[in-house]
Amino acid sequence: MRFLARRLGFIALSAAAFLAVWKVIVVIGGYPEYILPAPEVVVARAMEAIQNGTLQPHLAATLEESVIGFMAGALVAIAIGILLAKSLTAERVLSPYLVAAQAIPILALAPLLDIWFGGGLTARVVICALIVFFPIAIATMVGIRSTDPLLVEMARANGARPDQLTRLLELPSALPVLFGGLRVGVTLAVVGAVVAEWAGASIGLGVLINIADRGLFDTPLMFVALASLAVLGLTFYGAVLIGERVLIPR
Amino acid sequence: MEHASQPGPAITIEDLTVRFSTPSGTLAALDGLTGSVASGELVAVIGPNGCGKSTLLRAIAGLLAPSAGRIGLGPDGSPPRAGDGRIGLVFQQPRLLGWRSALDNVALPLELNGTPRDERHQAAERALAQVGLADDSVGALRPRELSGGMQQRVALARSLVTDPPVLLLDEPFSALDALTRDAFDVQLEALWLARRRTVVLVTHSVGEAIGLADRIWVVTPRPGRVAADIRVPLARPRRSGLSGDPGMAAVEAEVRQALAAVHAPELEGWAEPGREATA
Repeated sequence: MRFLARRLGFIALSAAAFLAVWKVIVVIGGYPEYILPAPEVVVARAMEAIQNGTLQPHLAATLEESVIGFMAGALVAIAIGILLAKSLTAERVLSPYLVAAQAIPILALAPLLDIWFGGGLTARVVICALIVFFPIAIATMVGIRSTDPLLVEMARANGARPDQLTRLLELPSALPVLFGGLRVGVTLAVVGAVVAEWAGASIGLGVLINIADRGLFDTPLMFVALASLAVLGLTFYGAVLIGERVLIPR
Repeated sequence: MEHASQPGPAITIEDLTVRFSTPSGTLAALDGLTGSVASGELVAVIGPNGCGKSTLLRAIAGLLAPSAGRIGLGPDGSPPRAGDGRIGLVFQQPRLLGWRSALDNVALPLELNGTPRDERHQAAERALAQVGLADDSVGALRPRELSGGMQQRVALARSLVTDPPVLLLDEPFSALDALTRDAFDVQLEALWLARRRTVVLVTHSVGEAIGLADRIWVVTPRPGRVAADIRVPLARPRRSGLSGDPGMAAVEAEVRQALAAVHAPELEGWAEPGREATA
């Protein structure tokens, strides 16, 4: 708990400094609201969007897509990462496809996936899962492969079967590297959700940005959506950090 | 389960050859090594660096398949299989899982064979007590919170927790300071006297070998073979009162002579102090 409080304190301090710099830029630059609104204008717009119920459904949709997408992507990535680590054949066969899939920008792939998966929540979850998949799969593979061979020999000498080796030795010893992948993946989940919404959705923070931009020129609302995305990303990242703290005792 | 000394060999090794493939060709670590260890006997294996002592233990433990020859365990002489419960193995390094408590590290072999949680924890507590770590608080600590000596005792407890009839010790105390190591040797002998398992101990120390073993195998440089099989006919317990024993001096002379004979090729080519090396 003390760790969490300290970390939140640092985040609050950092946010205060960011807001101060932002305000100074607005004042010195004398920018109009539609170019760069001041922080207090954005806060007022956020309060208004919450009170009139504009923000919540978009936030909930993005939250749902990114959480389910991250969970699904992480689960599949961990399973594939284990397979890649344990089987050289699997790595040789699958790696080119995984790298090629990663090399194609998700922005270019999203419209196709939207068509394939029917444009609903499933399509958005798949796009989200796809973007979080690669860093987590690679981290799992690298983590498992870096298991101390002396520990593997000890476990074998004590009768560990291959599944026990993975469960009791390789996965726990891969956790620090695996959590590195999860940290990267969880922030990408938010990116994936927005890309998916841009590819074809009627609700979500990505959609709200589009509405604020094209229809209304409501730059403060756009900032509210961007800030919501940032808060989502930070919350997810914090959740992964807490998981890391719990599962990897120091 | 009490392992009374039984007649007949607990370990039989016949013409054991182990070869490894390396980028520069095949490397024979052991070549035609033959010997047997009686049930309840403690045999020390001593020899120069790289002579295949650790390879021998891995082969006996079933971690390495012989390239030729055979190893048999127990009265039926069946070949070893890694983790078949007949062997406890202690390595040079403790090899503990850093994310587990000492108690859970000790209980690992029982967890792997499916023993229920309560039962394995009770057995792990007994094993910790056997190695002098009966204090409850030690079991809850993680390896990094333990000294090097305590870590190695936890590793020893892990090898005892399934009560295997054969114990293989690969220089288990070599990383410890001399005083701690002497104290551990005394405890090891007491442990063995209380329950006479068959033990094969790899060591670099002539004193440790004489202090603990019934017989000493002196192994040749790679590829390893048993060059001398020396009996140690000294009364037990030994570790506390051997110094100055004439019988010990005689055994030590015999072991050192055998070691010098196998070491000689390794020492060739060293220049004597104060002289130029000659071509």
